Amino acid sequence: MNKLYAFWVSRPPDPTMSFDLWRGFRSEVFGVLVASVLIGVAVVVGLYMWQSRKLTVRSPRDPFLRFIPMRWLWLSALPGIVTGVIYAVRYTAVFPLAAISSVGGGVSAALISALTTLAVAQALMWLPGVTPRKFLYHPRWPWRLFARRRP
Amino acid sequence: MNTLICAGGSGVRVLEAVLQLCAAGLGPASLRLLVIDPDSANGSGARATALVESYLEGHRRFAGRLGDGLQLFQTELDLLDVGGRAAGLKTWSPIEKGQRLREVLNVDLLDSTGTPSELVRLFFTTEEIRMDLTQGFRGHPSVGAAAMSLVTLKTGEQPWRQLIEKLKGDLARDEGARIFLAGSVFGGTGASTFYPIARFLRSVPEVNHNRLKIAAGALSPYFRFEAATAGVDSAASRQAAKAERFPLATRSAVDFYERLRVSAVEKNLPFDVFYWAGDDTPMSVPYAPGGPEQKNPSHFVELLTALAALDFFESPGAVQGSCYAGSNGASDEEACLEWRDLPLARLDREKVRLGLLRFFLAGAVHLGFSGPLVRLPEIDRAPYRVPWYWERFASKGDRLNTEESQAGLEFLDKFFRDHHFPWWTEVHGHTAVRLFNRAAMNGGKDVRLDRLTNLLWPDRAGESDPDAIDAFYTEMMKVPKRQGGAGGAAAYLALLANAADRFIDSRYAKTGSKE
Repeated sequence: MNKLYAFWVSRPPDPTMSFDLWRGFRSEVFGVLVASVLIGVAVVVGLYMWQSRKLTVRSPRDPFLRFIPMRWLWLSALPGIVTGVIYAVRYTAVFPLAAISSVGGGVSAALISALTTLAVAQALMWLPGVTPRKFLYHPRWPWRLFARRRP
Repeated sequence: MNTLICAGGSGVRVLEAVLQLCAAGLGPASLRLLVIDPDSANGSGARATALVESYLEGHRRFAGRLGDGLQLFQTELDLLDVGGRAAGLKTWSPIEKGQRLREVLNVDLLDSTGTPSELVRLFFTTEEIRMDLTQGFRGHPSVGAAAMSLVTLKTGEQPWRQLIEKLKGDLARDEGARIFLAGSVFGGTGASTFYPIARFLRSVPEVNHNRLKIAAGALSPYFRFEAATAGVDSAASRQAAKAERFPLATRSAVDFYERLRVSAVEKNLPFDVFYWAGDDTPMSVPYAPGGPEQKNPSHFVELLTALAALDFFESPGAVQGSCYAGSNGASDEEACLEWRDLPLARLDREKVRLGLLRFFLAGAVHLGFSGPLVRLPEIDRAPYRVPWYWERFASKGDRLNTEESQAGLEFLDKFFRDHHFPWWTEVHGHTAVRLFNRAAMNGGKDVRLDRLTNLLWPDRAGESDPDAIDAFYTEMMKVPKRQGGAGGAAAYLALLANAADRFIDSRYAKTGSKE
């Protein structure tokens, strides 16, 4: 599984690095990434469910107001930041003499973590029961994201 | 087939009540209407005519298009229209404009027929003989009865000709003909109509006499006025109906019908059942001798009589003889009218109550929320933002902004705002009426949405639930797709009514108001 995640870092960036150390480091980062994604998704979806249930429709214009609970998706950046930071810290600790910087790998790990969290959380929002029925289509469904709007 | 004949101002207001109940889905499958009123220009008549026209539009738009189980506007009206004549509610008068009793009875010609004209003076005063009858019989049932008895001479004229033909057609079928006469027994027109018209109708069947069922909804005094305060001249004042005579007139009427019932002419009693309704604390109304100014507000007694009519149409054999209903409310000090006091023999009381509440809720939500919602320009740009609109309309290529749908929505606006809610507000003008919660009614034009969970009496003072409309909105999403109308405004009304049912189940059961 971690090979799949890290197929582009299946080999150490620096050929002088120990392959065993690199493999251990890669597994560690993968574990952090999975954990941060899971926790991130749970937090984002939980907050989304809580706030979307708190939202009420009291006037005819209310269904057309900005759907504020969607803003929790911005929290998907947090697992990315956590993963990126841990990557950098652990990379420096495990490979103190490495000639290659940790930035490239850290950024890619952070992006993967953030985007995965975003995708999973968004997908969960489309599941029945997560979004209240009255806002069922407020998280725009994939096939409607590109739907042509009526003039 | 059912026929409702309404006499005089009170009878016409009973017609209004019947139509309101029919709009809520409580009426029979079909109903033939006829109004008897010499004062066809009176304000109540104009209001009823407008309601009939509005109801007909509702029937055309929604009957048979709301899906299973919903009977809103379902009752088909037969207004005895004849080709070549004006369509609409027919008002028959035994009097031609400007006629006096003298002309009606041809008093001047009596001597030439061998009948002394002085004989007329045995029954009528000089003032009665000379009284202009254009604005009704003004509380003189003896004058009215004499004029009404001439109906037998009008059988070749419309609308009687057509009514008689249709009644004969009804009598040829197993279900027969059911006729309900509604009017007051304390005024002029209503009191003078019951017996002459019922006796005439009894003479219609040539065969199957037992298939003709006739009932009378007799309204005893429930309003009063002071003619003297109106500043009318003395002659008119003397001729005018006087509220202080109402009890005496009622007693005379009761005596008359009781005598008919128990005397030797019992077999000639034209009524199968007599429903009596009244109020022990008559409401004060401004005096008007007739014409457009005679426009008394609607009253719960008319609602009771309308329910009696629907009960009779549902099962004409359910009750016989005379029916009375009194309050059995909780308070010992004050007589009141609660749901359990509605005098129903055959109709299911809970069905009546929930049917009226459903229609009330649907109207309230339409006027205050969903009507404005579906007219917002935003709904055209982002229909998915309102899931029920997306699933039931927009995703199927249907829209509520088409000309036809917009007309349907405007009809609902007008019906609820101009007819239904003002009528309920007037019915609740009497504090003893404990059906709906008058605190939730916004002066009769619409209903407070924050009181959606407290539309039934008693008022839970201080309670305000701004999220009640949110709960209703959510119920609209939960209505199964199969419970939908035939598209457009019909599908919209069906959705509102079905959501109202769900809302009642969840909110009114919880608050205990459903019991």
